[in-house]
Amino acid sequence: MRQALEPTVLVMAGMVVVMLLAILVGRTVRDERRRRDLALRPGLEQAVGAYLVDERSEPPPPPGSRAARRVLLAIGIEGLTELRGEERARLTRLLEETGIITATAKQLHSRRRLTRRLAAQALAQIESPEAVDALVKGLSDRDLDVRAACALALAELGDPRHVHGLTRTIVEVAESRPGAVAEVLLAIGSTDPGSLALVLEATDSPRIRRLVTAVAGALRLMEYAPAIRHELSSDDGELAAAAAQAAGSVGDLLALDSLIVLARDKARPEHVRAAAATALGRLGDERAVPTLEALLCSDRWILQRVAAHALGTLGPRGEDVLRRTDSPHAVIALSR
Amino acid sequence: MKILVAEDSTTVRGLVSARLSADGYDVVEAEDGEEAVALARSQAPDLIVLDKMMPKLDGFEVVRRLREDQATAEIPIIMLTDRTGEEDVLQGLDLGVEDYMPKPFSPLELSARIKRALQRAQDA
Amino acid sequence: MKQYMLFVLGFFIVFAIVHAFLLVLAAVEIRRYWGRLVETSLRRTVRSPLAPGISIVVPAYNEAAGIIDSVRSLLALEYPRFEIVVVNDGSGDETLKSLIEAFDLLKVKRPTPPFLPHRRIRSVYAPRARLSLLVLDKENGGKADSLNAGVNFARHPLVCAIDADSMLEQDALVKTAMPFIDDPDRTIATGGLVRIANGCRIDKGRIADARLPRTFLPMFQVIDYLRGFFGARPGWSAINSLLIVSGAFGLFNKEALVAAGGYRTDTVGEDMELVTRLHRLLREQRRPHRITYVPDPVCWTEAPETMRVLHRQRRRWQRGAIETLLLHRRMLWNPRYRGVGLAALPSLLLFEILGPLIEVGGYVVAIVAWATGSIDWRVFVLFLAVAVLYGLVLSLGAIALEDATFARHPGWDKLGRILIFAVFETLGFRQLVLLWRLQGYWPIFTPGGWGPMERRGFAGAGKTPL
Repeated sequence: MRQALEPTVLVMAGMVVVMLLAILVGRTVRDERRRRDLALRPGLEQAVGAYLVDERSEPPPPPGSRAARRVLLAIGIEGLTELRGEERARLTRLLEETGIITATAKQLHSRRRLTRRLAAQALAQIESPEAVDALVKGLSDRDLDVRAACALALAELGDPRHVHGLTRTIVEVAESRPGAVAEVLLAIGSTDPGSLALVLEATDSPRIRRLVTAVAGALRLMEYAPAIRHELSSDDGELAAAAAQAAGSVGDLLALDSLIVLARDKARPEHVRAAAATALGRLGDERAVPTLEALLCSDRWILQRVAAHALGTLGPRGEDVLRRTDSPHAVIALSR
Repeated sequence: MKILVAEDSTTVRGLVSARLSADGYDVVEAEDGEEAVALARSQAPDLIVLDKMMPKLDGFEVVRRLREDQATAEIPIIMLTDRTGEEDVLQGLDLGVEDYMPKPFSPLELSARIKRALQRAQDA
Repeated sequence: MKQYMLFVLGFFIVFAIVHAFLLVLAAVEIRRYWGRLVETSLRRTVRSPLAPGISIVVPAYNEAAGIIDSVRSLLALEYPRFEIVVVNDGSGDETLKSLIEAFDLLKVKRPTPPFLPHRRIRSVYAPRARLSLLVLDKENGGKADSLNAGVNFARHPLVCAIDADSMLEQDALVKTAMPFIDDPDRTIATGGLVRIANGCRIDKGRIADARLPRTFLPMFQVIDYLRGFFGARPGWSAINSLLIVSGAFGLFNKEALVAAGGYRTDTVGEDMELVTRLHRLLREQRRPHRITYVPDPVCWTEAPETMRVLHRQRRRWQRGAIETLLLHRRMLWNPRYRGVGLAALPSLLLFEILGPLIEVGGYVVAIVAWATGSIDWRVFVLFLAVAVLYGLVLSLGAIALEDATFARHPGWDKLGRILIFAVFETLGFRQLVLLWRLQGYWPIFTPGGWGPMERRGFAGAGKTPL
C-alpha cells in the first residue's frame, strides 16, 4: 500500500509545485509586459492625438521596439474601430508612415497560425491598400480562419479587382465558417454592392445564396430585387424565407405575387409562410389583404399572429378585416 | 468652456480630448461612470460627452443620476454609442440625452455638434 | 479494507488524470477563443444589421427589492436587438407593482402562445413608451414554469434565460451571442462565466468594484467556481459534450428549445436536464449541433453566505445531477450520443455521482483502518495527503489557466488570497460539500422518493450546478 501511495504523493506534490511556479512566473512575466505597455501607451496616444488634430503636423517616427510597435498597432486598431471620416483616414496614413502596416502584413507569413489570424483581422480593421498583396496571398493560406479574415480585409477595401479571389474564398469557407462569410458579404455589400452579383453567379450553394440574400435585404440593395424575387420560388425553405424577409426589407412591390404564392403554399414549412406574410405586411400593398385574411383563419398560431400584425399595417381594408374577425390576435394589431 | 469627456478607452478619450483642446475647450476626463458623475458634480462642466458603455455605471445610469441632481440636471449631454436603433435613441432621449453620436464617429463632427449644443444651451 | 483504500487511491488518480486532460482541452479551447480580435469583433456585431434578436427571460419571485435596478441594467446591455420578458411568478410582494410604476406599464391583451405548457397567465403588461419590455403576471409555478412562459412570449429567435438577481456585464450578451453569429445553423445553446459577487461593491444592481469575498464560505466557492468554469466547462465544450449551461445565464435557440419541450418542471436540475435533453434529441434527429461554453462573458451572482443555504444548494445540485442521469440513462456509453454519451455522462456518473460515495467511503475506511491498527499512521497520512493533493492540483491548474488568459484577479494580494484559500478549500471544505452531496441521494432510499421539492421560491437555491 505504501508503495502505491508514496510515489503518488510525490508526483502530485511535484505537480502542485510546478503549477505554483507556473502561476508565479507567469504572473511576473505578464505584469512586466503590462507595465511596459502601460508605460509606452500614454506617450504614443498623445503623439497619435496630436497628429490627428493638426493637419499640418508630421507623423511621429516609426516606433523603435517591438513592444512599441505592438502598442501603436493596438492604439491604431482601437482608433480605427471607433472613428470615421477625415481623422480615421489620417490615422490609417499614420500607420502606413510608421511602418506598422508593413510589419503587420509581414506577419501574414508567420509560421504561427494565431499570429497570421490576428494580423489578418488587424488588416481588416485598418483597410490600407498597402497590405493588399499580402492579403491576396493570404486568401490561399492553409488556415480557413486566416483566409476568411483576409477576405474580410479585402472586402473592406472594396476594390472590384479582387472579387474573384474573394468569391472563391467565400465558396471554400462558407460551409464551415458561415458567420465569417456573412461578414465578408456584408462588407462587399457596403463597399462594392455590384460584386454581390458575381458571388451569386459563382455558386449554387443555397447557404451562400441565403447569406447574400440576407445581406442584400439588410443593406436594402434595391438592385438585387430581381435576384431576391427569383429565390422566392426556391425549393430550399430557408432560402425562400430569407428571400421573403429581404423582399420586405427592400420594399420590392414586384415581389407581391410571389410572396402571396409563398404565403398560401400549405406545403411549405410554417416559418417560411410566416416570413412571406410578414413581408407582405411590410410592403404595405392592400392587394395582399385576401391572402392575409385566409392566414388569419389558419389553424397555425404563428400564422394567425403574423397575419394579424401584417393586416394592421395595410390601411383601412386591413383594419376592416381585423375588426370583422374574432381572432384574439386582431385586438393587439388594432391597438397599435 | 469646460467639457467633461467620459470614455473608458484611453485611446478614444485621448483623441477626443486632443480635438476638443485644439478647439479651445477646457477638457476634464473621466474613465468610468462613477467618476463621470463625481466630476460632473464637482467640476460643473458646460457639456458632457458620454460613452454609453463604461465600467461601473453604464451611460444611461449616469444620465439618470445627473438628471436627478439639481446641480447637474441642466448640463447638455452628448452620448457616444454603438447602439443606434430607433428604440435605443428614444430611450436615451427620454432620459435626457441632448444628442447622439453613433460610433464609429468623426471627432470633427462631434466638435460641431458640441458647438451647436452649447449654443442652444446658451440661448435657452 | 486495504483493498478498498487502494481502490479509492486508484479512483483519485483516475479523477486527476481525466480532469487534467480536461484542463488541457480547456486551455486549447480558451486559446482558440483568443484567436480573434475580440473587442473589434464585438463592436462589429453590435453595429451589424445581421445580429439575431435576443429575448431575455427573467423569472421573478419576490424580487421587489432589486427588480427595477435589474431590468434597468439589462436595458443598458450592449446589443443591437433585444427585448426583456419579466415573468412575475405569483410574487407575494410588490414586484409587479413596482415594475408597473417604474416603467409606466399598461395592461395589454395578449393571447398566450401555445408552444410550451405553463401555469396560467393572469395578465400581460407592456410599457406605454417604446421600450422592449414585457411583463407577464403568472400563477406561481416555479422557475422552470416561468421560463417556459417567458419563452412562449419571446419574439426573437434567441432566448436568454437568467435569474432575476444575475448581474450581467454590459458586453455579456454580445459575447455569449458570438457562437450563434459564427455558426448560426449549428449552435443551439451557449453559456458564459458565472462569478461570485459577494464582497464586490454593488451599485444599483451593477458591479462597481470587483473584489474577492471577505468571508470564507463564499471564498471557498470562488475556488470551486474557478475549477468548474476554467478547468471543466471549456474542456467539455471543446468536445461538444457540455452538459450544463448555467441557469444564471444561458442563451438558447428558441426553436430548438420549444421543439425539445422547454424546461421540465418536475426536476430540480432543470438547466442540466434541458441541455442533456437537447443533445439527445438533436443526436437522435441526426442534426449536427453545438452547445458552446464561451469563457469570456460574465454574469455575477450572489453565492450563499451561510452553511445552511449552501448545504441546501449543493444537496439540490447533486439531486439534479442524479435526476438528469436517470432521465437520460439510455445515453450512457451509447456511441450514438458521441461525446455526451461516451465521456460526459459516464464522467458525471463516476466522478460526480459515485464519486462522493467512493471518496467519503475512503475516508471512513481509512479512519477505521487506522483506528484498528490495520494500517500504519504514516500510511494514513499519505492517504489523506493524496485526497487533499489531487483536488489542489486541479484547483491550481484552473487558477493558472485563468491567470494566463483572462487574469481577472490582478494584484498579488488577490492572488495570494486565492492560493491560500485554494489550499484550505481542498483541506476540508470540499470534503464537507461531499458529505452534503451525499444527502442528495436520500430520496432514492426513502419511500416518498422523487416527490416535487418544495419550490415556492427559487432565489438563492437554484443556481449553477458545476
